[in-house]
Amino acid sequence: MDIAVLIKQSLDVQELRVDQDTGKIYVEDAPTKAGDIDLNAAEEAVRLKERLGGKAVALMLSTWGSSGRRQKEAREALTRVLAMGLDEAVLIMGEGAERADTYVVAKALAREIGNRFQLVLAGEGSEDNFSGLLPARLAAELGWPYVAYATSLEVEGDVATVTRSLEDFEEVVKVKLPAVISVTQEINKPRVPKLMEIVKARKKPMDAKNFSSSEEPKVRIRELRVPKVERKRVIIEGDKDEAAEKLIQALKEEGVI
Amino acid sequence: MADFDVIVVGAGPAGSVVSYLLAKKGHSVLTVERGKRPGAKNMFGGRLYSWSLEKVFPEFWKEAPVEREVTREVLGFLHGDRGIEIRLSTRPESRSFTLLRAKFDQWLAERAEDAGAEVVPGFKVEGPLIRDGRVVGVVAEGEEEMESEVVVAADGALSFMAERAGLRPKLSKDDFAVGAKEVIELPKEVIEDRFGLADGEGAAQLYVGDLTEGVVGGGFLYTNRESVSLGVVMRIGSLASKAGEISTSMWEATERFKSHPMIRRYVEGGKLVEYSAHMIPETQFMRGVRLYTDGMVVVGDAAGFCVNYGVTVRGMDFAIESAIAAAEAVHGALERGDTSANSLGEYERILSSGMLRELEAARRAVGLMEDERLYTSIPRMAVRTLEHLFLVNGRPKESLYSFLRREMSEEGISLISALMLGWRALRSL
Ligand SMILES: Cc1cc2nc3c(=O)[nH]c(=O)nc-3n(C[C@H](O)[C@H](O)[C@H](O)COP(=O)(O)OP(=O)(O)OC[C@H]3O[C@@H](n4cnc5c(N)ncnc54)[C@H](O)[C@@H]3O)c2cc1C
Repeated sequence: MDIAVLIKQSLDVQELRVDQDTGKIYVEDAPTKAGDIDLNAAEEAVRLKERLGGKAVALMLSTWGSSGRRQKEAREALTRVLAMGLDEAVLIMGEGAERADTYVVAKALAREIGNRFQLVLAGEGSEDNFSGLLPARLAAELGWPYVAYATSLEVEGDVATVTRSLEDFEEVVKVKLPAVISVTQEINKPRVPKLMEIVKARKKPMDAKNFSSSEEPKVRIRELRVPKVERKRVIIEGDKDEAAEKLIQALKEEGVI
Repeated sequence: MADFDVIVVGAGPAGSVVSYLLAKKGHSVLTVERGKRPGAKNMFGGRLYSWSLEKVFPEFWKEAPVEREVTREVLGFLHGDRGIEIRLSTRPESRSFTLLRAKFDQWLAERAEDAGAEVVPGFKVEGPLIRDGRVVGVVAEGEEEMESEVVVAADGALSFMAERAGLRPKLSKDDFAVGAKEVIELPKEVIEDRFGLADGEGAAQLYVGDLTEGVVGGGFLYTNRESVSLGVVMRIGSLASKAGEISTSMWEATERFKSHPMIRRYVEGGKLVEYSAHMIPETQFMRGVRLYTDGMVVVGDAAGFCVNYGVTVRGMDFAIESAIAAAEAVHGALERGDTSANSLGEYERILSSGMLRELEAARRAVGLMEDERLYTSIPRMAVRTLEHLFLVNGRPKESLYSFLRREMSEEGISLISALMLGWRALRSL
């Protein structure tokens, strides 16, 4: 069984620089990396592959521009998942990709996937945008079933048994492959590649493809801004017991407790 | 068979240059850097003297991410809210550039990668891998052993590599000074206007005075393209005995420096985008470092090739020069198939005929600057003397001679020793 794993080049949100006064986010300055939940998807693909054989391939469509720096970061992100044990990587990048929304990306990825794979794994959401739309859109494009929020996954022949984590209960689903499955962070603990594995991963095949698409995106991001948090700045004075009483009162009025 | 010909620990300037040169010679090189990216966590004051890097990359400034070429040197004395600045406009035949390490170190590491070195960031090396008393590789994070014919320790001032290989004694806080720096963003035109610079020109400004409250050290300002690097260097040993807690007094000194009226006007309205602090190895301790052993050489700050002048620190150019020498020696040793201490000793022989002399001269000059009065009495007297000279208040003025005599007896300093101090300080800059 051959598996495709979607790896998003995500902004490293911990390194996002923002201007608190103007709300501006310095997206260009922020480095990118493979999204955290994508690493869970990669780990799951490696485990399945180790058990069932076949190939596991990382697919990345990079939407944060195609400058030299972004290309390097994309390759590094893919090297990391290759070092975890994936066999190959495909990197799609180029003019116009930075405007692509999940609609366009799903179309492009569907073309890439075609009928080469029996299973597509993805994270339940990306680390930067977290719309969680892509796997569903991709399944729709491929005409495959989609199972979201997997916390465990077994494959037997051409049937996958997926446990889904829902608010109050767990659901166990059987689905016939090919299918698209998104995973949560609970599904596994991604292995941390060793130094030598990183070095060797750099020699694994990485296919760089040029992004091309005739579709127009349906969503345009007009602006990225930091939400303004307005504090109420209520100061309660008085002696300890009295102040505590007032504080509890105030919190009740706000509906906090 | 070893995994690599050479493993380099650290992708600072020393590590990247040695990696570049050895990879270019066709050796297999693995460069391990613990930062997320080369340069990510590295800091320095702000100026690179170009003489050594030019040997590796002629006219590197045309391509490398340098900020500005230094054409203005300023020496300042601060006392209270007053101050003196002595400005030199210059175009020395040997250039120097201001730069920001995050960008510059990355550029250098990319040169090493282009030459074929495997540069792997995000991994910490725990120490040298030692078998039968010989360094045969490194132990990386997660107990992973990697073997190489030669290890180059380029892991900076705190070098655990050198310590674990027994090449240097354990450190104490007296062996270090400490530097803190802020990067303050300002529009390019504002910087050029405030510092009186043309496009691409830069200023290097050093200040001594009461901002360090009697501790050997001072403040610095370096102009970048669109930011100013502002910081303070202080000698930890004396700092600890005088002020107790290091970090707060360091922070306070930085604040005092930044809010001095003469300094404030340079950075007013700017945006603080980065704050960092770093250790600076002190000269006397670094003299005790051994530079090589069986299977390993030590370069750059790890080998103590760094000079703390009190206010400024110089080490990037030495780090690069030592990397050039190490690359030559390691290449020779690999060619001979003999990487014993004896064979790698070529490294020290190359350095002895060049850089070590320059380094010794720089260290002697520093010795002349240890006198605390340079950081206290001299700035104070200089400011007060000039104030006296320029004072007009409608009343008869005390003669300069008697003013100076009175000042000096207050400071407990003789005219001769004041002149000597001033002269030495100028000579050693
Ligand atoms: C406040 C201050 C101001 C300075 N100002 C100047 C100046 O204006 N001009 C100048 O020329 N010099 C200046 N210096 C000195 C200069 O920064 C150093 O001399 C120079 O950086 C030395 O280069 P290096 O490559 O030897 O070490 P570093 O630049 O320290 O590089 C060491 C590298 O090794 C990595 N590393 C460390 N340990 C490990 C490990 N265990 N595993 C993997 N990687 C590791 C580090 O992350 C780092 O990238 C200043 C220093 C300070 C602290």
